Amino acid sequence: MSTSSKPTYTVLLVDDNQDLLRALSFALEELGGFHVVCANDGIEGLEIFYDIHPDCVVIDVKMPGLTGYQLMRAFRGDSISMETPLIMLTALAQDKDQFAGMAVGADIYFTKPVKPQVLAEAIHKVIAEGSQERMRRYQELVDNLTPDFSN
Amino acid sequence: MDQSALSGSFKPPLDLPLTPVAGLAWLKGNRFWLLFLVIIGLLGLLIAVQSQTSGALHFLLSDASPALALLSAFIGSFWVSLRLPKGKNRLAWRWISLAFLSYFIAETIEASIVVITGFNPIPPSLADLFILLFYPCLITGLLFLPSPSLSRGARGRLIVDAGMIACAALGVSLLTIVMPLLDSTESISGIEKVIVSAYPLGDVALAATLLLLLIRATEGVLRPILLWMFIGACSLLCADAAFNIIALKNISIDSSPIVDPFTVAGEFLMGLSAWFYLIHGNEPDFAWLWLARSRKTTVRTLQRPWYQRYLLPYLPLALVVFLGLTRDLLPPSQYQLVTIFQILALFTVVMTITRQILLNAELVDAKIANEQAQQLDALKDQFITSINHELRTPLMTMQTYIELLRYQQQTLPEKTGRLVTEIGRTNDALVDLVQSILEVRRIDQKNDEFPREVVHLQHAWEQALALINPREGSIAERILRVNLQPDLAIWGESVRVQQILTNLLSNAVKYSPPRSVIEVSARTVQTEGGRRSKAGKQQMVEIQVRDYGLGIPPEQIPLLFHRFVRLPRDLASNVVGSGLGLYLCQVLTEAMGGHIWVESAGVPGQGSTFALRLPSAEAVTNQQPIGETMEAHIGW
Repeated sequence: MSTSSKPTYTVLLVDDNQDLLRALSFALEELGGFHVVCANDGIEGLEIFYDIHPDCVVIDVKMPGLTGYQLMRAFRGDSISMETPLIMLTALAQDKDQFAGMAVGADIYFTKPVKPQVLAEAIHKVIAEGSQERMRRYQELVDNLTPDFSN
Repeated sequence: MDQSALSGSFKPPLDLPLTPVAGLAWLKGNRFWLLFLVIIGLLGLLIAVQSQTSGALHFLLSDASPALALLSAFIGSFWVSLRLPKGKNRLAWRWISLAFLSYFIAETIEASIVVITGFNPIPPSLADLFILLFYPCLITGLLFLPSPSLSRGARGRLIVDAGMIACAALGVSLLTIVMPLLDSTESISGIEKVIVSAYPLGDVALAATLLLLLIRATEGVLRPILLWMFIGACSLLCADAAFNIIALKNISIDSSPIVDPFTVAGEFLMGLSAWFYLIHGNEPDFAWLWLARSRKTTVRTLQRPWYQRYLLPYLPLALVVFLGLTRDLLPPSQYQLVTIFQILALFTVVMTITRQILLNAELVDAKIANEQAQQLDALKDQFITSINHELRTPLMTMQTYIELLRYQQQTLPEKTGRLVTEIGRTNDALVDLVQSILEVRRIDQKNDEFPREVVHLQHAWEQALALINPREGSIAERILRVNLQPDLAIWGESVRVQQILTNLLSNAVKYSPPRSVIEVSARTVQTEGGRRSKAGKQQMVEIQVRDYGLGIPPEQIPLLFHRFVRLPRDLASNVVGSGLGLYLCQVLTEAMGGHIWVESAGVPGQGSTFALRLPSAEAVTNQQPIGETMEAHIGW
């Protein structure tokens, strides 16, 4: 399938906005060399995930039916999908939303609009990052959020 | 008809300032209520005239007029409750209106008894039951009225003052509450005993409620009002207690020398405080009203000199009370003269009340308008946030396509490539605008300070430089001269510092020609009269960003830091901007305890200097241990 020396990673995009899906899948294929699969909502996202086992999932927060947070929890709660890199993409721009995104297990949290190059780079980065590195980052996040009472 | 059974003389209309005022004061001063007050005034005139001739008619009228006044108070307070938005305040006014309703029923019953039997009913009667209902309703209403809290020291003083008065009154009354119940002489029946002892009990409850409100009440106008009402309630308590003692000892009530002074004093104080509340009760809102820039009449009235505000409104009341209290000392031949004065005084009272009604109605309207404005404001904020979120997805779609086009720019014809660059630039500006709007709204909403930390300027600067949008007239084409004093640290929030630096630098790049110099420097300065330092000196970090571009005409400098303001020269040029960047810089700088300013001669080629001062971290960390600062910030 892949003609280049680099392996072709499969990225699953879950967003309810068709226009954005079309634009992003085109851009990620063009700029990042990914194989992009799209899902229109959370349920479809789950179905496709277990069909193709993508290397990374990009999820929008506000979707009808299953929201991005719920979908993310479903992924994180299943041993098959537990270690798949997840990127959160949302229009919500409050600090507390970002916290919620990280808390449910997003590897990276992006507030729309984000440039396609930036997104492609981020996907490459999280895929390259091993699962151990990811666990270390979670731990760091947890440590930072827990107040230090030792003093 | 037995003349002695009736209270033979016309009593001063003490009830008038007390009852209709409390309710009517809140109403819109339309013609109907004006007419109503005039009718009450005429009724008073009739009473005064009749009192010289027929005792019976006089008594009927003098009992009917309080009933009418109470009816108006009921309608008034109920109407107020209808006009108020749902909440505690409305509930309070519902209860107060219920209190007036029950008192009105009591007065009506009493007047009816007089009409039917021709005798003044002696308690206990059916009317008493309704008067006793008045107490719990009024107390409940008073408890629901919103009241701000009082400072600790003032609360302590108040508790001592009010506690002493309360103890004295309680001592007298406790005995009389129990006494009728223990009374073994069969002069009164069981139910009568209960009713008779319920009066002082109601007074005690009312006084206690007022005491409670007094303790909770804020400094200022409400305090003396509540204190007077409290003393009034204590006085009524004494009167009722004395009445019980006299009634039990079967002494004629008409010849009781103890009851009347207490009753008169109690009613007078209650009436006076209601009057006082009417005139001054809304004054704490004055500052707000001024800000709202509405209701010019109200503001003008409140701005009158002290004698107009304090002396004149009380003159008619003082006159009425004085005449009422002294008339009994005059020989009957002088009654005619006194009556004329009474009529005059009554009309003045009516006119003053009317004026106050109009004033207070405006205040209530303005308050409601303010509440509605606040609701609208919240709705607007919500709208801005949601529209902002909705904009982001299509914006990203557009940006994605533009970036794809840019990616393939080499393959495009040169002309099309230029167009793509222009589209990209405009799109970036749009993205900036969308982000800035949300940022501004967030700052407007959140008045609390940012979390403080030590921000190393060198680090913040490097981050800011990395964030500069390379397309905003490429920074590589400018000669950047950076001169930062080593180890400078700011006491602020790193993201905000970096945001300010990015904004200033991006402005300098935007408004200066290619190959011109941009100078960035930072140093420590000592400023006078800092808030943080008691010695009067404060260490600040001064950052300057200087460009050699067009400069800003001095007369346009004040406009720079306003939001959504863009200078006329920018509007004419093709420099893209939202008019929010410098506003954000100013807000962020001030929130961190600094200030920002600009110096420019407005001469092209000499450019402008943007300078800001932020508190130095050294000054803070040297003056107090870190732990303490943290604590102060977290608010433990």
